[in-house]
Amino acid sequence: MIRSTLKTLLLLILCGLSLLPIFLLWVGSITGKHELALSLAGILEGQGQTCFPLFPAFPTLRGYLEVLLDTPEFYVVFWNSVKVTFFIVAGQLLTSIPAAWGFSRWHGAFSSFLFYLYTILMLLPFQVTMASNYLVVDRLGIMDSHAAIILPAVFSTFPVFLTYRYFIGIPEEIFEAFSLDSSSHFRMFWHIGVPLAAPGAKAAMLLCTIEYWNLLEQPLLFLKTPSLWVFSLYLPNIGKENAPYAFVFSFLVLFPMCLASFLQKETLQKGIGAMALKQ
Amino acid sequence: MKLKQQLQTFRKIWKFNAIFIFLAGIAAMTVVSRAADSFMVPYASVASPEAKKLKYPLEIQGRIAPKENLAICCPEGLQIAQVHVQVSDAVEKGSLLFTVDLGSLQGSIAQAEQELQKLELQIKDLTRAWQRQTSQHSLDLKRAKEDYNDTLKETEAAVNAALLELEHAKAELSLHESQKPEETASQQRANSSQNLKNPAATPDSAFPIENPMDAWAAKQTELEQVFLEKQKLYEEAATSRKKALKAAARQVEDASLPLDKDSAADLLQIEQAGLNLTLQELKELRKAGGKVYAESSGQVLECSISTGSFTSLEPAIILADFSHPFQFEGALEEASLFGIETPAIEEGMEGSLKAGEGDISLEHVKISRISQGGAGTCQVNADLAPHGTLQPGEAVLSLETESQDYPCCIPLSALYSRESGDFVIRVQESPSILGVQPIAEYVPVEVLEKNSQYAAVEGALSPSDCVIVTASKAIKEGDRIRITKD
Repeated sequence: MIRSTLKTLLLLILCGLSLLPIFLLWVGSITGKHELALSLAGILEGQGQTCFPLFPAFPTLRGYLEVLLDTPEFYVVFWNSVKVTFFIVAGQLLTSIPAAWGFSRWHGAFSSFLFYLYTILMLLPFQVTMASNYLVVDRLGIMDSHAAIILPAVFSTFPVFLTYRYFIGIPEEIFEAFSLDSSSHFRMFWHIGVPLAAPGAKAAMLLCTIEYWNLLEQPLLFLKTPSLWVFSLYLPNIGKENAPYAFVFSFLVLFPMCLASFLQKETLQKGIGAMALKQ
Repeated sequence: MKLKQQLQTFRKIWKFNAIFIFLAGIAAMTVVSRAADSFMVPYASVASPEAKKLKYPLEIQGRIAPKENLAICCPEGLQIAQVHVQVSDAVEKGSLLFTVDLGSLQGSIAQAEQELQKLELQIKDLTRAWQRQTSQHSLDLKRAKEDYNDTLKETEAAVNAALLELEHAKAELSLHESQKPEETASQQRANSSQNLKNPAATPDSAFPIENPMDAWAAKQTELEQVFLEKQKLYEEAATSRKKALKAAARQVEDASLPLDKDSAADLLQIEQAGLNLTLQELKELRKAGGKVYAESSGQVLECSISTGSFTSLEPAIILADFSHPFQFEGALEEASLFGIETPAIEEGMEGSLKAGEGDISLEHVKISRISQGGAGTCQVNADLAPHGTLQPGEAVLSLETESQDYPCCIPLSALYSRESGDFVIRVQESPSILGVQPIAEYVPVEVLEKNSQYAAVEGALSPSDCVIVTASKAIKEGDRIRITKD
């Protein structure tokens, strides 16, 4: 009993520590401008002490009001982020599931080698492929547009890798049984492969959504026009005088991902767990 | 059990729709934010700097007056029986101005006639005297010429006679020299010259000449003396002739001098002509029954006569002559004339004239003369073209002066001031999160000149720039603005 209680307490502490940044973000968002300037004097002014309060002396929702009502820029960058994330995830859905299906069903001489290369590509960080990405995007003439971010990301290897694990986990007998009814590979893919790999696909989509929602390097490299910026580019451009707005802004863009993760946590856990089990 | 199923159903629906509800909320807030932004962003109308001349409207108060006046004169010394007009009366051509007393007029006519007769007699006397003088002068001249001719003849005869005698003596002397006895030529010449130079040294004639040479020498001496006497006589005759001719010529010259005519007669004739005119006027006045009429339509400006008074050399009445073109007469402060506050006005500038109660309007009225007035003002005159309804009275001449040509002029409402100086708000297209947005930028300028509408400025402005002329609210540097089309 005591052991169980201590375990629970430890987990609660760890959970609290992991949630502390979000909590501080929220506290900052309801703190007044002057109070925040005093608290963050060491950071904002370069002199004085920085002592972030656990709760503001005079909490206010003025920051939310000003961001939501007086800052149309917030909505521009928010919807830019939504647009980029949606099209990337949708594109990945259309490309990664057939690709994963192909890798799982193709047993050719180079299939393993090709998948190995695919896996290596997944492991490469963006900084490594940045130059080649830049050249391709420039050659395609889509520089300084959302397509410059969406198009390379659509062909990401991570969802392929994740969904592939689900496809290879489907027993061969099921496909043999289905082949008695139909010889169409597409029908087999659509009626057997997709439904059985749906949890993996959903988990992949959720993880990709979180990843591309917080995209930074690609917009920084490819987007020059401010009206095309996503929030990750806009956030550093908020001036010191509008520091409370940065907290509000961060909290607002964090909120949908927190919501999605919270609501879809079972799918996420199931997908990742299944992937781990199969590995 | 049923409640548990409903909760599970709600949780499933919530899971799928929470994100969409959040996005829908954000979408709604986007619309609200945009609407609020449209209220917050100031509306502004803009204009571009342009090259132009600043115009200054100027109004000169004055009056319309005839360009020329007409003096009604009357012979001097007439008594006025009645005056029919007074100052500022408007009269038509042929209107009765005043009446002269007929008795006084008759007396003046008689007096003038008497004076005229007197003058005629004086002129006749002077004319006769002059004729006598001219006759005497002609006679004197004729006599002087006759005297000259006589003197010429007489003196010429005397000179000719002396010349003959001189030639005769010379011939005798030459003949005697040719009859000289034998002697060396050198001795003969020595003796001869000694005798000529010193006749006293010659041997006394009382002594007998013992040889022919001596007798010849004595004769020679005698002849030489005779020759010298004749020569002297001839020279005296020539000198006398010269003197006599000179005296006679001077007499002719004196007699030829023109007579200085006395101008008294001419003066009397001039006086006579004047008196004739006066008499004629008096007779015409008597013929008109002593009534004096206006020769043209006009307005009585001055009237120096009254009933019972006598006329003088001064005009009896001065009329503003409406038969001639009118002119505008106005006064203006010297500041406007010399361009202290606005560009100077000058002769030849055109404007529009309004007279009456704005009923009469004349365009292209040109300033004909600007002259110095009193007390810091100047007089402005403008000739007016003939106009049917134009009447003397109050009028306003509207002018428009222009400054020099400035390359950068903006509406005055686009000019703002602060402690550091004047500035304009330029609209700069700036890329932002919301797209390319018009942003306000303060541009310091120096005001060169301004009128009630525009200001000529110097600064970092170009004709392609847009400056804010009016705004719905105060605009700070860097503010976003919304440009209205008007």
